[in-house]
Amino acid sequence: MSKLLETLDSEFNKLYSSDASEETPLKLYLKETHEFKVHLKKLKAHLNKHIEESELQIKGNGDVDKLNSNRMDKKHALIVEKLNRSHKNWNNSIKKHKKLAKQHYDGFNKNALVKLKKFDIDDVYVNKLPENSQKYINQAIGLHIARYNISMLPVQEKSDVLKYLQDVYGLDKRIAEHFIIMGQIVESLKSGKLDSCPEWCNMQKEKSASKSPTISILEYEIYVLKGLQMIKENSVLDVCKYLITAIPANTLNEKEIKNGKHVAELLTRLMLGEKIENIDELIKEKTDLCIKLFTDEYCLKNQLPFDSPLFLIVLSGLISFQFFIKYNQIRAYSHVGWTTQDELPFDVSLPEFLSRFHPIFICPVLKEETTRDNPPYSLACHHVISKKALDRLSKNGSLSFKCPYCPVHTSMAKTKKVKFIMV
Amino acid sequence: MATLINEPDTDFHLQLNEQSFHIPYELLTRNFKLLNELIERESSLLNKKFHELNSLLSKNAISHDKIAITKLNSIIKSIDLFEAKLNDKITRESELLNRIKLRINFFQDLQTFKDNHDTNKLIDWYQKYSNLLIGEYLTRFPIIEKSGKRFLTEQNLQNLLDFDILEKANYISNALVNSHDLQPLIAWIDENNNYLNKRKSILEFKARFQEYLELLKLNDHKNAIRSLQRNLLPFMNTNFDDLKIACGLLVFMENCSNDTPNTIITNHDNIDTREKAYEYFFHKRLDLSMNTDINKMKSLSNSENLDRYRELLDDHRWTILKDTFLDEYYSLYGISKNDPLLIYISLGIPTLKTKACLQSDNSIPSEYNILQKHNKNYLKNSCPVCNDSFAPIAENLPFAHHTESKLFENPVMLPNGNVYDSNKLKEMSHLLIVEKIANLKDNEIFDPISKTVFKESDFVTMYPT
Ligand SMILES: [Zn+2]
Ligand SMILES: [Zn+2]
Repeated sequence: MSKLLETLDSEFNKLYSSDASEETPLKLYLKETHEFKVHLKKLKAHLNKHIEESELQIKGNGDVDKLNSNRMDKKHALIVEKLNRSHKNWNNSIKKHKKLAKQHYDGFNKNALVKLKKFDIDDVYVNKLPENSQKYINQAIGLHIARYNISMLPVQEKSDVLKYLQDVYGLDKRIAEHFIIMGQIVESLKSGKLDSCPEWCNMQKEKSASKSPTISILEYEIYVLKGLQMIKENSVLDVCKYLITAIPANTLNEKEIKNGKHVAELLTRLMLGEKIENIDELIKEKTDLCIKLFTDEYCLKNQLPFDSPLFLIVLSGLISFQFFIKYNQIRAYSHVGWTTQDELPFDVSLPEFLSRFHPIFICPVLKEETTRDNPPYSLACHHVISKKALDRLSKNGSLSFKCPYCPVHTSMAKTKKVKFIMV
Repeated sequence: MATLINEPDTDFHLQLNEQSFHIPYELLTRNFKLLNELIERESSLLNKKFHELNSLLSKNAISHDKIAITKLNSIIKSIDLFEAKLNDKITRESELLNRIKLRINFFQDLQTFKDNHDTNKLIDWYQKYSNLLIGEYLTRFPIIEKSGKRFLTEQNLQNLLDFDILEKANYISNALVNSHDLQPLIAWIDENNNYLNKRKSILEFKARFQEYLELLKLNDHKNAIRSLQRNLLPFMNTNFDDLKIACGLLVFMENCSNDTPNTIITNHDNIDTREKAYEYFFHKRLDLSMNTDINKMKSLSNSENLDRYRELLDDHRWTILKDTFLDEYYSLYGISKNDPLLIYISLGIPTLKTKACLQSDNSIPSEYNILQKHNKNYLKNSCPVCNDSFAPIAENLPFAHHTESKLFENPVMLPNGNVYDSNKLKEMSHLLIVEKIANLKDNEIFDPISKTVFKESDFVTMYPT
């Protein structure tokens, strides 16, 4: 639950005149202005009529009919009164609505906006990016777009796409090229043409002897998507026939049999003659899923970055933002410097998929991360410590020593430099 | 509350994005102000017209009533016009409120995915969020015109960013730096005078000062003096030192130029006191309340000032002026001075950067492609920091701080000292057999780094604690 979000939402709703209405005081004022105008038009018509009648009367009987004239005077007075009342009401309505609008605006600011203002994000921009970053960042954006949004580019022809990515973002043609076919298949999926994706899947299956579970799932989902598409245009019988006969042969071995339930359910509903209400939504959802499965697999098969590096870095930045803000606040409060080390002053724990790029080994003796200059060493007992720790314990290799973690003694001859490799 | 990927809570997200509510709100209050002015004008005009209408009607005579009808027509017509103008402002209000609403919805989505523990949807949401940052970056530093807007519109995220505000900042900045054109800036200063005064901003002085310097550069001394009198005089109290050097520059340039301009005053030599200097430039006596050091005006055209003069005439002042403008502009709307994408990158890289990053000996040599032919992502350095786009940026940024080792399951050491995840290594070797890439016997495994074959019995179990 987010308190700020709730406040923001409820205060936002107060900008309208009442809970039910979509109208702000100013909008109501506009309405009343319009009514005022309509009213004035009506009164103008009355006045015109009054003039006509008066003229008729004068023409009709040269003498002034006292009774009639009295009646006419009253009518005239009534028009004048109504005109002025209408004007006065309108004037009051301005005051009322203006005041209300101001109250609403001020209230929103005071009760919601001010509470959002907790820090200045410029304050954490301490480790500035180098001057020449722009060129690299543009490249990274180009790669990001090629990875996720290639079918959204304003150009479609292969050579145009390559040129566009290169001209606009400085993305290397060799890199961009990999994404072209992907973009074309995504585009065809989006436009509801479901041939190119299964073709690609078949090609992959021919290329490789080992089975890829993702490809099976993708084939299955494309099959379901096609079924959904058919529901829109074909008879129930045709759809059922398709769903029963066209199911891809090798998918049922996969764990995703549970997805088979989905088809079964769909079939049942169709056969019971139920109308599938949200069919467009289902198609859209399934299409997005297919696109995601396909692009992920495509990138994997073509040695393309699975996620855009830019996205991963931004996400890590977002996760660590809270720590930077907190640290910065403490720092300001206790008047300590940012950090003189070339290492962040705090530990940020990232999710698994953001922390598995390199193995990290912290020397258990010195509590320092091992580096190229201070690599990890295996001891006789196969415990591992850093070179610096090893030098210290062995007095620079001159004597054998007891492992700090078990009773085994290690001589220098029994140590071995090791390298952790993540696969 | 526990989070899915250690991401911040929604409150923190809202605080991070305070500006996306602040900006439309600021625009709302501006719109409201304009609307009030409009109403003020219109209602006093109508009051006047009604007054006239009433005096016509009070006669209760046909002839007067007929004039009253024309009056009434004109009243209706002006209400008609007013209504149209009012409608514009109300439409603007709705549009701005809609911006706020869509942004609230955006963060409500975030909260929903968190509540449902839906990590996939959450990651998708962060994709959108990253795209927003990219959209803002492309708007702040457009590679081609409107590329930011187009990028976000394609993804239906265009309502989450206030392009108008960012584009206006660019427009005014570019006019300053590229065309040396002060007009857009001065127009903006006029619109925001109250705000700038409240902040005791020096922007207007700087802009007017630059205007004066440009006139001097054109040798238009007459208008330079006029600009000095009209626009810089009000800053006599606050920016005396700058004015002093400004006057000095004028005298200096007059002395240097051959054709003396038609100024009214002739006694150049006699402006060595502050009072006299003041009288010389402003044609009136110095206000006694301006009581600073009187001798400051001495040595106006002293050659020591030459460097200072040169500096005044330098084009880099336009860049400084632009920076001053952006400071004011951004703080008005609560926008960060630095582009948010750059800030996120500057935090993200150090958070990810390990001691093993950016070291060539760490990655698999590129000519080694036995496993690349195979369709697995093994051994590919997919670290974003090591990526070509970020490695050059990451070089001088700090490393992440780690207090715990992050290794893998079942570490085993091969005779050459390479330590792998035992299962992964076996799995990989198995794939090499299946794909007929390497000729391995059943209990053999392949070390992809050293490209040598070992026996599984060579495995030494490690205890890296
Ligand atoms: Zn040990
Ligand atoms: Zn790395």
